[in-house]
Amino acid sequence: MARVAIEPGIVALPDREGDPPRLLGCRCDSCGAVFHPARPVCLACYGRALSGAALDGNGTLYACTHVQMPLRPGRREGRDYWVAQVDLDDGPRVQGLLSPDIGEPRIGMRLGLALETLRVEENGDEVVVPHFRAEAGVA
Amino acid sequence: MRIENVALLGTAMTRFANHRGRTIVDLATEVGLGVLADAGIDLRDVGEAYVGSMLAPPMYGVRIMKQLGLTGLPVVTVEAASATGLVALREASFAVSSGRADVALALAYEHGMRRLPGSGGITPGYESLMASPASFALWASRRMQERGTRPEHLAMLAAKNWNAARENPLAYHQADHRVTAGEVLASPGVATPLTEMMGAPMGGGAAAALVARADVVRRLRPSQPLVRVLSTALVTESYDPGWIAIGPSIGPPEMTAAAARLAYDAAGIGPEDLDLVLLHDSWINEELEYYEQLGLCRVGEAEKLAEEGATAPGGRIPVSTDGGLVARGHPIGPTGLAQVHEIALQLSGLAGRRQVADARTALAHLVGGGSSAIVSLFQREG
Repeated sequence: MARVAIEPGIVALPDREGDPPRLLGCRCDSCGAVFHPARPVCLACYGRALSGAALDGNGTLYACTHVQMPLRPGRREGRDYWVAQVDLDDGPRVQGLLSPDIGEPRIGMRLGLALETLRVEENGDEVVVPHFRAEAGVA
Repeated sequence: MRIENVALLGTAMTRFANHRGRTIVDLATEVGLGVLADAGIDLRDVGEAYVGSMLAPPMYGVRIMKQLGLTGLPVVTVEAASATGLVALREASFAVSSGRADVALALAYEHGMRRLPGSGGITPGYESLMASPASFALWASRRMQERGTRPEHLAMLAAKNWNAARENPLAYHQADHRVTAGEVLASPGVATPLTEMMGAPMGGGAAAALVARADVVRRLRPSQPLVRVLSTALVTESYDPGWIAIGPSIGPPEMTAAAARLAYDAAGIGPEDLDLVLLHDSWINEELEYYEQLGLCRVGEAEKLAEEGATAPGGRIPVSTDGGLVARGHPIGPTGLAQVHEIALQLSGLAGRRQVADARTALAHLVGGGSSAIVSLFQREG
């Protein structure tokens, strides 16, 4: 049994369980702008040289919503969920899932990155997605 | 871009509804023949056709046009998600203004979200885990934080559009009573703060518009006021540091301001000249954003505009007189041409019980997934 990311290019899984995952992105060699996910041309300066970057996913909550509608394919059944936009300390604003344990999220709260198991495949592989949760040690 | 010397020659639409037992070809044929009849012409008079849908399989555009005749005319399929209908009209207008055609057709059709054979399923990828309404709910979340918007503002505008649809027999929703904001708030939650009655139903349907050189329209419709297509502006996303790559089905609301500025400048008019507006309220909080982006009020004053009833029937600038996406319905492809149909009725004084008094200038606006935004301006002569 192995852990596999929901799709390539989104998240780097840690070698050791318990270590934090990273969001995959890139940094422009010319102007330093950071993007998630990686992309072929810099949107700020149109430079073509961009280097891979692993972002720690720490940031602050910009906007959030509690989704109550019927679930999309691949989502665990019977679960409502949260979607958020997060301003990463590394630069970009990203959209992603919030931990189901988020409680009552507040705009401006500090967040960090973790993994959630979305489903277990027939071969035993665990399909995981990144999600944001309250930063460790922060209420 | 300014559109020189082009006017509406005819419009038609089916009701937006769940058309069980009718195919996409039935629906498209009905409006194709309908719009030709409205103009008093047949396909031999049409120089070019722009046809569109988001969900129809390949080749449908050309094949559907065969229902109307085999004249050899060029047919181009347009797909711009929710903006498809207005983009088809833009291209038809350019076909005329460029001199390629005296008359051009824009036609769009959709059979709801039911997938047609061969069009594949939804990949359960990362982005698909974030349901599309979440994109708009996130705008609402941010707006509530920054502007003190309350769910009641959203409910009030949704009720306005539900009640406007009660005067439009072609609308998807036909409430049998006056809808209240309380009812909208009490409907099942979708993505906080949005509830079911704040969102557009899909359904299916078709809609079409013919455009032609102004002198052709005058000759064919001598007794009706001339409704010109003044300008149209289509934009896609522009980068700024708050841009988000994965998740949003639509880029930032400011895309709409960019399109509006271009359309107003090209036409030489401003928002103060408008008598009615049709905009993209797939979720009702968009309506508040676009009041500001389209310049109907200053930034930060959309809630006040709504509270004053300025955008309701009889108000200073009625918005979505046909029920909007929320209540007229939003089958995706045809939505923009339903807006054009409403504008043609309103600017010709034929809108019946929902007529805006002495309406002369109108704006149609849509955004489309991907994403893009389009604004088109129309004006009655005289």
